[in-house]
Parts: sequence; C-alpha cells; structure tokens
Amino acid sequence: MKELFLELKQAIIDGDEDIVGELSQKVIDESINPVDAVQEGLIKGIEVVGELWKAGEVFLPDVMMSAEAMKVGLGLLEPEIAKLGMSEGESKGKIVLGTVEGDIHDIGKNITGAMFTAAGYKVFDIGTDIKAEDFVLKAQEVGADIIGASALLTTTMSAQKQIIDYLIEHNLKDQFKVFIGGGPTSQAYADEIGADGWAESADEAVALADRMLAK
Amino acid sequence: MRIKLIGCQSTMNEIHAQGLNQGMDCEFLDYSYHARPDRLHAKLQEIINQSQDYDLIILTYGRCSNSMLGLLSPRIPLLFPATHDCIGLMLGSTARHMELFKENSLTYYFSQGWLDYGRTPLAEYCEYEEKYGEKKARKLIKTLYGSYQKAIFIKTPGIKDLERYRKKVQEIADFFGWEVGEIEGDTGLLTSIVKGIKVPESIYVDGGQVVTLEILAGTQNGNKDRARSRL
Repeated sequence: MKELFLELKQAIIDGDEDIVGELSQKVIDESINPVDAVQEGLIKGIEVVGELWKAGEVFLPDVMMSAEAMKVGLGLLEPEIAKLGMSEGESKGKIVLGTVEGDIHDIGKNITGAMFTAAGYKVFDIGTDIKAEDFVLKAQEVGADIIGASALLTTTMSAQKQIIDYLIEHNLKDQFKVFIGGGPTSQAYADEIGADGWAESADEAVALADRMLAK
Repeated sequence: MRIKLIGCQSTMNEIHAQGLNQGMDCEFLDYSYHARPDRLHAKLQEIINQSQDYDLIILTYGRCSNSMLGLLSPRIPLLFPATHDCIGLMLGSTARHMELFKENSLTYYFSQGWLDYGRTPLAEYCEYEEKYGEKKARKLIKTLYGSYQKAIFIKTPGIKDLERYRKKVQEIADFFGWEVGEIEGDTGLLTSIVKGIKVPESIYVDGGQVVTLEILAGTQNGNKDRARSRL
C-alpha cells in the first residue's frame, strides 16, 4: 500500500494524469483507504511540486501538468471518500476558486488551486467563465471561508467587483473573504473594489490565507 | 513639435502603410511583451525616461494588462489609446470591442501584426511539443486555448497578401477546431493618436502625472475632453 502511495506521489510530481488516474482507480478497486491515498499520495506529491516551484526548479508547464494530474486524482478519489462516508480530515479552510464571467483563463487558477491543496486547504474549483452568483452559491453550499476569483483581462476584471457587490447586496459580505488575482489586478485595485486579499502569485495567496484565517 | 512614438509591433504595419511614421522618431517593441506586463511596464518607463527631450510621447499601447499603470513621464505629456488592448485598437473603439466580446467572449482575434510578429497559439504548441513531447504539449495547449471557439481575422490597412493571412488563420483554427471569421478593422482611433490628435477615446496625461487606475478607467467611459484639438 505504501508503495502505491509513493507511486501516486511520483505520478503527481511527473504531472502524468494517466498514471494518476490508473493508480487512483486501483485504490478504489482494491478498497484501499482513499483518504490515505489523497493525503499520502496526491497531496505529498503536490507539496513537492509547490516547493520546487517556489525554489524556481520547475517551470510553469510542469506545475500546470501536476495541477491537472491532481485534479484527475481528486476527481476519482473524492467521490469515493464521500460514498464511504469518510472524512477527508481537518482542512485549514475551504476555498471556492474560479475564473470570472467572460474569462476562460484557466492556468493561474489551477496552479493556485494546487498550491492551496498542497497547503492543506480544501479546494472547490468551479471552473472558468463563472457568474458572480455562482461563486457565491457554491461558497454557501460548501461553507467556504474564501472565495478566490481570477481575471486575466482588463475587460473582465470588473466582474471581480461584481462578486463583492453581489455579496454586499445579499448581506453576505461578512461570511466570506474574497481574494482576487490575475495579471491586470493589483493591491490598489483590490482595495478599490473592497476585496479582502490580493496576491501576485499562488504561494503568496496561500500565505495570505494562512494569515487571514489564523486571526 | 518633436514626437517620440513608442509602439507595439501589433500596430507597426498599419502605421507604416499609412505613412504615419513620417516626421517622428518611432520605436517598435517586441510583441512578446504582450505576455509580460511587468517587463513591458519597465521597458516603457525606461524609454519614456530617455525621451524627455521630445515635446510629446505617443504610445500605441492600451491598458495591455495594466502595463501602463504607474508610468510617469517627468516633463513630457503622454498620449495613448483608451482601449483595453490592440484588439479594441484595431476594431476602432472599446465600445465595438465590448459589443463583440458580449456576443462571444470565446473568440480569439488575429491581426496582421499578431500573425507577422506575434507567437500564435500554434507556434506555441510547436514549442511545447519540442520541449515536452506531444502528449504533454497537447494537454498544455488545450488548457491554454481549448475553450476558444472561433478565430476572427481583423482586416486593416497594410495587408499586402490577404490570402497568406487567411491561410495562416485557417491553419491555426483547424488545429484547434475553431470556426473562422473575418471582420473589417477601423484604424481611425490609431491614426488620430499617432497624428497626435486628442480624441474621445484617447488618454492624455500631463508631464509629471502618474498614470493611475482612475485615468485608465475614467477614460474607458469616454474622455472628458471631447473637443477634438490638435496639440
């Protein structure tokens, strides 16, 4: 079993989603504890990738591939965990992540998701081109601590403000921290629209979340 | 009046085709800055600093991922388009860009400059394939561009061989399985700005004034200075 977890970890580091898929299926087929597979395999692997990324030892496409592989593994194992009525264990917090309406840029969000997962957060990635309302509905559904909204275009960054406006309008602003990110955004913009957090990179976003949720 | 033009290669063909570069010092920057707003910002600031002995600095950059944010020309005014990027600039206005964006945000726009000097999605795929092999390269490129549905070529002045561009766009679109379309560009805004004319969709920043979000955003909704005036 230990061997299988090590293989899973390595497949995440290699960014090989096919192998991650096969191994995750094996976990299910052989009734191996899926929580352990996630904790000891997938998360250990993405932790390594996160460290290598911070150290500048891997390139963006490598991290992207690992993040994608991570999604495949979680996509198979999480439903199994739910089916078995098991708990995934304590997480540091829950974050709903998505790219705003009109914007289909996926990569920054995926990497942010992978880094948050590696750091012990439970990540709900709701995809790209997501309406303000849908961010909030998902956050309510899962009881999220943070809503993370990505925008990569100056044409779409106003949709980040729409999420905050929606929360204010529905008296929900106090329930979630809103983090924004993406190329054209800045701390000044985050302040202007009333976002709780902004970070330039995925690992800075994690550090910010750690500080904010520790309060 | 001595004018310095700092332009993106995305606008070079159109400017040359109309002879707008006559009588001014032009410097066209590499297209690859498109993907690195931080580097573009630094490069623009560097050239602005070196160009303080001119009377006006014209830029053909729009907000371009907010690369323009925070720029400061100590003594000389700046003039540039209030569009989001070169798509709006080639279409002639932000309004037209946004109208098309609302119609279908999943459109990838091409212009002659993009095809001549830029790094097309297909070229990017080829680079990845060489580096990471076909399997990873396909996955990467799908993550990057897989959601787009349509390629539209913006026709602007200066196109010598339209068929060559059509073929290029078709080749890229076929690779990704996109529909293909064409649209007439409108270089009216670009032309006015390069001629140094303040128009509603231009941004004019006095020397010593930092380019702020308010300046960039305020003019997105129409410049207060609506009167056309020759500088």
